[in-house]
Amino acid sequence: MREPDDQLVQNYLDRGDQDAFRRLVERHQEPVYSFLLGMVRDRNVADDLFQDTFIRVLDALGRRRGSYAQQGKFLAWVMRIARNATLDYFRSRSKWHDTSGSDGFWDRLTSEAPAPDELLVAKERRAWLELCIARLPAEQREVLVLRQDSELTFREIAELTGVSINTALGRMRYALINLRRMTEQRSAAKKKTSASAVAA
Amino acid sequence: MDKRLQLLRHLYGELEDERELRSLLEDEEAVAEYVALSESKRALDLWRRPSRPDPAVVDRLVAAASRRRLRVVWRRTAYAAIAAAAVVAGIVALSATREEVPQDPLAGSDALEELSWDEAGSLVDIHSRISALNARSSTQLWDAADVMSLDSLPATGTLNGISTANSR
Repeated sequence: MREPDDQLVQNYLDRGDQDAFRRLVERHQEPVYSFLLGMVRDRNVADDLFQDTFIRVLDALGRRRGSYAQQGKFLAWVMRIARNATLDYFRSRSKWHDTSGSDGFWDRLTSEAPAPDELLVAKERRAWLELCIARLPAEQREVLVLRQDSELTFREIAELTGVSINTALGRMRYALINLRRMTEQRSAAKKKTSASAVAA
Repeated sequence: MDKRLQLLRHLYGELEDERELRSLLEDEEAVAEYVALSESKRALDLWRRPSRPDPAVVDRLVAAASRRRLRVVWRRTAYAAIAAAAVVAGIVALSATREEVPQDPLAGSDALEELSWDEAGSLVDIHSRISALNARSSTQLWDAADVMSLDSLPATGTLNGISTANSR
């Protein structure tokens, strides 16, 4: 029988049950880590941020549950902490132009990913797809990762990112359309390359 | 809500009303949109998998959780000990304050004992004075010549200086 998150939190806080804490981490590691990796695109950094996220969780729980007041929404709470950790990471790297609040923060992030054209010859479609995602505007990428990998609902994403559900849906829609457009461009470029090779 | 956004929610299974979906897809433009979105989603489903952190990271976190828990237990124990010590100190201070309160010297057995003690002191004092006087006079008693009683003196003689009163 699967114990609810709140029960595991209670077991850890009341009895120091390490196993309860491990189960909490393992239960939610995929949505949290997938989000972190999707945003930073570096396994080592994602590992560090994952650790940082759960250390913050421990700190908060140690302060008489800290900000974890909404029973039954442990994952949403952890995702918020993970998102803040990610924002702090980007801020520490000075990848923003304005420090006032996080509103529009992702818009100001610069993209380090190479142009998808550079990987036209890449054989791994997965790598190609990852690059396409990396090329998305950060706010679209965030929603895509949260929905696709972390499996949060659009309503949860809206709450987490502090936007309306329509905004979250709109960003996701543009993300999917942009991915498709990039794929089409790649296909067209491939055809062109093939045609050139044949002509030569 | 915008029809296209509704389609997206259907695509991700957040809306399950088939009739509504069919109604939305009656529009050709909506169908094209739905197909485009579906293709991207299919590619994502196919090529992307949820990722997990290095297991060592989870182990480190559990170890950190254990350490923090120990600190919390130690802190709670320390607080409890401090609280207990404070209570004991409070009780001691309270009882000391009660002892210092001035009392009626005539009330209670303590007062009587105090009086008895004072009287005993006086007796001891008197006794020591008597002893001192005895000690002082004892030499005179031992060394001094016997005092003759008046009866032993000759009543009719002419002992110089001594004569009976009626004979004068």
